[in-house]
Amino acid sequence: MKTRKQAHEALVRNFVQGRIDRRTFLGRLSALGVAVPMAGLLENVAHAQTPSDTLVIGAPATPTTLDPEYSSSPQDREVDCSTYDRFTQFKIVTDDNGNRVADLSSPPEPLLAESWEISDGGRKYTIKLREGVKSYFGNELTAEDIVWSWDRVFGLDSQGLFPLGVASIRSKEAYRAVSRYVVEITLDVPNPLLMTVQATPVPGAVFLDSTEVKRHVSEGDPWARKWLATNTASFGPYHAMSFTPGQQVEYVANPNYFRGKQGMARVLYREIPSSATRLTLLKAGAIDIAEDLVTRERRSLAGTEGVSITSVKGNLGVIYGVNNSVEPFTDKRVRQAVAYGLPIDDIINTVYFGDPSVRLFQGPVPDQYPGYPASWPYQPRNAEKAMELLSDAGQSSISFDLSYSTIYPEHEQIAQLIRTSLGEIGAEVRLQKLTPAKYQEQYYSHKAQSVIVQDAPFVVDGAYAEFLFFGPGKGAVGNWIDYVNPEAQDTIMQALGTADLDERNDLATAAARHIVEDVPWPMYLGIGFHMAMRTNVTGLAWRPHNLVHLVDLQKG
Amino acid sequence: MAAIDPVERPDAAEPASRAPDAGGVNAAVVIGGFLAFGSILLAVFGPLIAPYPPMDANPGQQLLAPSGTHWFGTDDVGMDVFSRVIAAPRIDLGIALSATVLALVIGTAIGGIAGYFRTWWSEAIMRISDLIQSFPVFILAMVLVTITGQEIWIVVVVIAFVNVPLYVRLIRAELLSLRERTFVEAAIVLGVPPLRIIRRHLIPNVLGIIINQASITMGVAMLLTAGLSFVGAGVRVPTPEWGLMIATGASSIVTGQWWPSVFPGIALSLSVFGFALFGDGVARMLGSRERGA
Repeated sequence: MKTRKQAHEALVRNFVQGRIDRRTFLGRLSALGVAVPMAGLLENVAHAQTPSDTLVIGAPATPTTLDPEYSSSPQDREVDCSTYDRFTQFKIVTDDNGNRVADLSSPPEPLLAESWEISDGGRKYTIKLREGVKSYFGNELTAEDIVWSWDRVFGLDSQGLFPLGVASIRSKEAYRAVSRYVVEITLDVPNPLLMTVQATPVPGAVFLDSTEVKRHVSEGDPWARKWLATNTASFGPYHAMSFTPGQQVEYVANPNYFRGKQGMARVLYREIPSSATRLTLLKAGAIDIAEDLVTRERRSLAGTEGVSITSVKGNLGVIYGVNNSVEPFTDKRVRQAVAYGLPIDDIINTVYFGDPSVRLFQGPVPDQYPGYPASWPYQPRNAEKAMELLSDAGQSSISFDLSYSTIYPEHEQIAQLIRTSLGEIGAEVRLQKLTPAKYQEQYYSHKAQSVIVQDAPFVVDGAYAEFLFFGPGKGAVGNWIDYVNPEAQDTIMQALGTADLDERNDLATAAARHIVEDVPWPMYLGIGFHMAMRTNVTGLAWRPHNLVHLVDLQKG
Repeated sequence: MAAIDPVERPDAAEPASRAPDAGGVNAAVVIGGFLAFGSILLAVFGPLIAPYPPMDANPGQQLLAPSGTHWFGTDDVGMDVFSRVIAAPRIDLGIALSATVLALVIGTAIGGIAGYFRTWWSEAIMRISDLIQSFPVFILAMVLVTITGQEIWIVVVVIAFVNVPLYVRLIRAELLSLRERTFVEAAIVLGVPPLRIIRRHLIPNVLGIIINQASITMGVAMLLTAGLSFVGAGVRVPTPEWGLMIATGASSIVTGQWWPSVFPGIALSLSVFGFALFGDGVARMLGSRERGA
């Protein structure tokens, strides 16, 4: 007969290996009478190691959808990274710290595109597809798949239009299938970003197995939205075998993948909302990778046997933005006052424990990007100047909401430090902790009065980043703070349409200086890319989108 | 018209659970009263005597262990845990007391009417009460707060709402037997209006039960308040509230910082225990006196 400990271990093993779901696991755990001391149990369960052919990732949430056209959260985008391949990919090199990172100075390398020719003064791209690329379903990649995938973006009229627009593909007439393996793209203006955008896992840069998807269309759903929300049909390395929202995504290797056998046969991407639980499970070996641990938790792993942390400075940022079209932030002086009143050093030292990868971005783009102005006159904190500006604006006492998501515990700490600090300059800040769905709804609909956001511009280009977050019109999908300055925005658009890189970067810098003056984001902190893993997991590489690519990973 | 003496008490059978106590004031009342009174004192004076501002972050002082400077340590933004623990009763007790009074007043009024009048609508009231009580209290409260909004007054109303049926059922059950008593029949014969009979002659006869139930409700309401905050549906950060402090501090336990959540947990336990003990003690005392009478 099994002892109680053996029963516990068997139960945990079954859960880790995906044989039972979370509900069953918790039910049986309760029956064993161990609901409370579970953390202690897991610490001691050396037998709960994940199987050698299965990688288990603990994430704060499961994806909201598997449809790349509607992906919005980092978890959504990680699906796109690992299941959908793109025309190009970043060159991966080893940095001074021994980390595998994308080489931002090198041009993108071929992936699904075998080669490409640029002609007509940079306006025409002729892309030759790699032959013999097959999806999980066994269908071969052809130019028709590219055309159908882009047709779907235009047909759905949704977010894929942004990256296509940035690459100057503005209509269905811009592309066509020349032959089975050749696609031709004709741009209205030369655009140096096209193949760079095509290296990022964003809508418009990932390609569907149209043969399979077409089997799931209907009269009322000509683009198979319903089916693609819970299924993948890709030419990439992994295939989503099952998806249980709120529990897990199960990936299996694409047996037909053109680059050969993948590192893992199976990957379980599990929702473990509490970062403390992810930490405990990682230490116990019950998961292989713990995403989004807070700094304090990562620090606690120092010296822990069997666990390593990969840290890269990267481009990931935490933004404190204020809604420029809502009182009291319509007045530039109020925004400047808030920027002067923020406790940036305190945030870095208190929330991030002075982590060397955490730094203030002195401008509206990350510090590695062309166009970075390296000029931020609002720090160090100056409460007197802040109060003076508020007084000049006739707003000696202001009050407003600060929204943040439950996903990132550190954002709550930042919010509390901001609240206390701005309280000293006469601002009453009401903290609004929102569920991810409510939070996204609030800031995508531009309703948030002020908000903390974690984001990064995927394409390493100043003009791209500025257009994304501060550009004019509906196309600037990241301009959730309703920034308006015709002079700055004209400069951004001019930069975006300039093919000469030096000239483009100069224009981006000029636009950035306007934005610094207008201070639509009183704080933009670079927080680094960090991943906690078991030491037998290798191959992780950082790319500018700060997401895990399953194709990189293997277990020793 | 001469008023009827309101304190004729029916000689109803004593429930087995209410065993008689030897003395007039039992140990439960003393200990429970001490803890409950202590919580009330903190609700009044806690924020005034807190050594540090209970809602202000203190950069650079995060997660300090308990010491002579910070008796209960500090939390992840440097707030003094002791200051927050003693400031929290104002919120926790304030919500619990308001919700209890609201539930008591509404529940007693509805229960009184439903118990006195035996009509179809008094039955309807009971079925609605059944319906509300058929939902798990915490889940119902969580859903209602989520739908209506995360404000303190909404938390009060929601906690009161989920407790009203308890009072309705309790008061109605008592009144169903009381209204058959001769003093009620006498009042009816003398032409006393029904609502006056309920208010002046019936309700005073169930006051002991109401007080006992109110004490229990206080404890339950405090747990509900803390529970709602724990799951993120109660009061907002950085309000000093025990449940919220436990929730935000819980994530630090795995990294070795137990104090941000353990101290508010102890405070909550003692306070709820105090009210429950006090209510139970009062009930025993009243039962003992009634039997003596």
